[in-house]
Amino acid sequence: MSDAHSDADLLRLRRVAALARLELEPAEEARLAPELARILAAFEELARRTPAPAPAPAPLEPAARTRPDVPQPSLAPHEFLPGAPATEEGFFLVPKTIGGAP
Amino acid sequence: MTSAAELAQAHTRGTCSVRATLEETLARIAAADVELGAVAALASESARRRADVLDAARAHGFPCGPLFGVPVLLKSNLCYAGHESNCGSRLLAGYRSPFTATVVERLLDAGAVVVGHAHMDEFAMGSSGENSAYRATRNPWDPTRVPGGSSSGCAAAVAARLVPLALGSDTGGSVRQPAALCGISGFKPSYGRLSRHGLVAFGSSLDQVGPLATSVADLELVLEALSGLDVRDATTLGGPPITRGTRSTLTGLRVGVPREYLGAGLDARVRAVIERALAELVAAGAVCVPLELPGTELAIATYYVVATAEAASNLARFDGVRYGARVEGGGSLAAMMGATRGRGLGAEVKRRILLGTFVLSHGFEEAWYGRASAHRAALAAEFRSAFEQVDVIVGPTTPAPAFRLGEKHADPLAMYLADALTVPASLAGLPAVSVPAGFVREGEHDLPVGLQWIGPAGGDAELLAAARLFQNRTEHHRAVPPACTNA
Amino acid sequence: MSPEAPAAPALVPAIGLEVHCQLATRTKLFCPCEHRFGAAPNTLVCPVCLGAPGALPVPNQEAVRLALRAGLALGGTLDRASRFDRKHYFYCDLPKGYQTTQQARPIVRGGAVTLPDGRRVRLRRIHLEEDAGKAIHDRGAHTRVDLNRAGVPLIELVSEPELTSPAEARAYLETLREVLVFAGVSECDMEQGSLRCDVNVSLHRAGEPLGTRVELKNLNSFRHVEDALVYELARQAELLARGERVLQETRQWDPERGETRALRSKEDAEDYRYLADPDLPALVLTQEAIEAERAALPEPAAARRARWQAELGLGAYDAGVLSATPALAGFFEESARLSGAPKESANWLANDVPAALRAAGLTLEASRLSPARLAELIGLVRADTLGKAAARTVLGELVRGDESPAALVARLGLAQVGGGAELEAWCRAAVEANARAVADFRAGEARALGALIGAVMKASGGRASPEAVRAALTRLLSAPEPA
Repeated sequence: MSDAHSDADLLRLRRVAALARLELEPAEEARLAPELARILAAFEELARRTPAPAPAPAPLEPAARTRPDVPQPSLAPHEFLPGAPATEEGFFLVPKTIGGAP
Repeated sequence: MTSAAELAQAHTRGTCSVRATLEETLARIAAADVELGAVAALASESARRRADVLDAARAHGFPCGPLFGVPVLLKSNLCYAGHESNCGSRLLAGYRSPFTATVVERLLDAGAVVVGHAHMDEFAMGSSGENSAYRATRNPWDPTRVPGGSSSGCAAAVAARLVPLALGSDTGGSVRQPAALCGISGFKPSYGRLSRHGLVAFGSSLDQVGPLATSVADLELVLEALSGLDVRDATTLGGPPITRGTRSTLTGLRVGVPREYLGAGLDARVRAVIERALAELVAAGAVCVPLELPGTELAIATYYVVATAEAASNLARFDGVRYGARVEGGGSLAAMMGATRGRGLGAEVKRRILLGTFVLSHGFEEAWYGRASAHRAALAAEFRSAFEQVDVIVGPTTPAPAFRLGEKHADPLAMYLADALTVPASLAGLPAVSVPAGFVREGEHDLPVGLQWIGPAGGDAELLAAARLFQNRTEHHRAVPPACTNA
Repeated sequence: MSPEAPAAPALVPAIGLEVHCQLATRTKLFCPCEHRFGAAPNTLVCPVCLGAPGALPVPNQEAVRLALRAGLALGGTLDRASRFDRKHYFYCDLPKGYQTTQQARPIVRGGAVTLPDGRRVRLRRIHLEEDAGKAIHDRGAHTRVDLNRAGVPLIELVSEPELTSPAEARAYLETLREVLVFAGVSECDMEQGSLRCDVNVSLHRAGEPLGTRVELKNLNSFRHVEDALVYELARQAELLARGERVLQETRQWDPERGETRALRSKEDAEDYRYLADPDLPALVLTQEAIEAERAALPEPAAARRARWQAELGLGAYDAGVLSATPALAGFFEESARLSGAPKESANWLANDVPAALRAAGLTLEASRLSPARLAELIGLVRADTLGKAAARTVLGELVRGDESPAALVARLGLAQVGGGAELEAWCRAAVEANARAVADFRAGEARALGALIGAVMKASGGRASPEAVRAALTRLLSAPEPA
């Protein structure tokens, strides 16, 4: 595989990994980029062989069941907060800054 | 080892106590599971308490449900309040759900005893059990081989006669394929037949909870006990409760045999087993009807586009904020999420999330997901046409018997292609069951081969009835792995 | 620029508003947790709205009904089989890593808001979606997350970019709010967070395509919306006048500094990877359900005002006051109906009732006053049984307790005196005590009678009927002077 090819594959992998919030080690990137490319190429057969979809009607399925607007007991905090990674005064805690590594 | 039905009757009659059965079960597990690696976590304490309660209730004359006292193993992606259901993932190590899955509630209502959770491929992604972050379960017929997946521990435990019944999940074959490779019976109901409330989602439009047992009769028992509308799952089917199919003879049964299912990639020995099974059906009075299902060819690609897209979506909630094993990472929110998911998820899961994210990403969604959805609808239409001519469609469950641990692991694409026979029924939402059809000899080991039966949408009961009638004419399901000391 | 060059066509604003409105349901959109403002953090959550593994959404039928109602009230076209979609992005207040919304097939398309000046502003769509939780950044070293609000049902109403000024945008918001409140769809209280608004604004020259649009966020009141638009339009105009381009970006309104600031842009922020939600089949609306909702639609505020003015003779101002809330409008209509005196009812409700409520420190809803009681009171005044001043006293009691007006009049001895010995006595006394006024009156100053009437009213503690007093005094003073 040419370098241009593998560069493009790596860039694509990094873009998708960032979208999916998956931090990958370099070794993982090296393995996954060509794997992803190979699998997608194999699946491209699908795109070649099937016509473009018509505005899809909903597939065979029942109409959505809805429920009445009647309250049911919520969970008590002790049923889930103790299992959480970080909490304080009833809140979940997370790191403060929004940005960071892609 | 008796069937679930027989056990339930024995407990109900008082021939043996639920507690005694449980203790025997726990002892068998303790003896065999170190090698086998089927059980991820035992619920001995709660199971014992429950067994005692059931025995006392029976003594007081309370009615006994259809699964009274039957020990059951749950796949680790089924929520059972207070018990660890880690989905085979490091990210959910120690995770205890605050609620119980509907199907588990109904199991308990039917009198069953949950003995624990079973090992599985991580987040149900895999066909061998090797994608578990904890333990790669072994095939009881040959411990150097895989039991199949993703319901690997469930299948191995039932095959090894550790428990009579397990509850797994099937998205693209994850109950049927391990059932076939382990020589037991495994069933994927019609989509919507069993509630998914409490089943950790992988491919929401494909997932179904599915039972594994040593006989089709036991599968029917479970289906009756667990099926029915659930107001907590908007995709469950309504309608009257399922009862056993009324079909009483194989005579006149129209059996469709798709050309595509017996194609070039099929192991020759598996083909021979399947052909013998078909001959058995004909001898019983069934009529074999050759079928063409051209949509089968693109089914794998279609499945993987749809399933990975839905998986990427369903696993987005694992971000380290509210539960799971958080990894702090570089100090920002995004870094924490990236590190938590990067460290906590295994290679196969990451691969599928990346694929799924890609197929949904801007500019690609129509080319990929849109087309896959269209092809899926076409496949369903193809099946509907076929079922105008036939009552059931049969073929091999897998193209080959169990492969060796490590053999396929390096080539994910090869692994995906092996699912070709099971994904069509998943895509079309049809009921499908795998039953033991015979064996192939591999060196010193007999390796099981499964016969898959597919029925029309909603035709679960009649499908199982037909499969049961076939099973009653053969002895394959009675065969027990040689390592098992308790037949 | 050369003074001879023809002036470029004027810059025209194009403003579009995206309003998020919390529906007036008891429970969340996809789970039966209650939703209310001000509960302790993470006490209104369940596996579904926590995004716990294995949990599944089930739509709230009341939320669907209210969205349908909003669509009918705004004249939109209903999609009889709308779908939910998943909109993916990662944030700490988004438990599933996606928001369940409606992208491809919203429940309503089109519709319009008619402004007070008659202009129609078209809507593009109205769709159902769930709210996110709350991330609190301004306390401590970490961000705190409260998921009580996660899953609360919202409708998002998107207008076409047809608003042309900040004032018009404000009028649109006020009118939209009134329509939704009167339709019973939402409380629409920006302070409690049940109404939120984002703005898209651009400038273009008349006849040319729309300019680059800027999104404005963090607008917490209608005032903010107007002020931010004024600032932003000026900012964009200035950029364009300098020959620079307006950047497409999201800007945050800073009310303290009175300016908009660019938010740090997030890479890949826009790739939401929409997926039709496989857990939620189509939302089917039957013809029966639509017709039932159409029939149950409360009369809009504007229509009520028009009717009151045309049929009941109310003035525009009073009509406006009485249609401030659906409760008040309903109260007025019921009082008017029961008393048969719409103008008097309007008068009381616009003036005396608010005063009495303020004095008692109560809202109309919290008070004991009912339309029936008010109608009774009005009846007593019209029958001349009760003077206006005394009636106000009775009103003060009616807002606090359950005694009927008649009982109060009796107990407090407030019955109007319209004749008899008592009245005579008061009049004679007033005449005797106010010789100057008497003399003035007899000298031809008709106004002096007023002072005498006032004296009698005072002496009677307001109980004398002014008309009867006037008649009695006139009679007394017309009698020939004693020699």
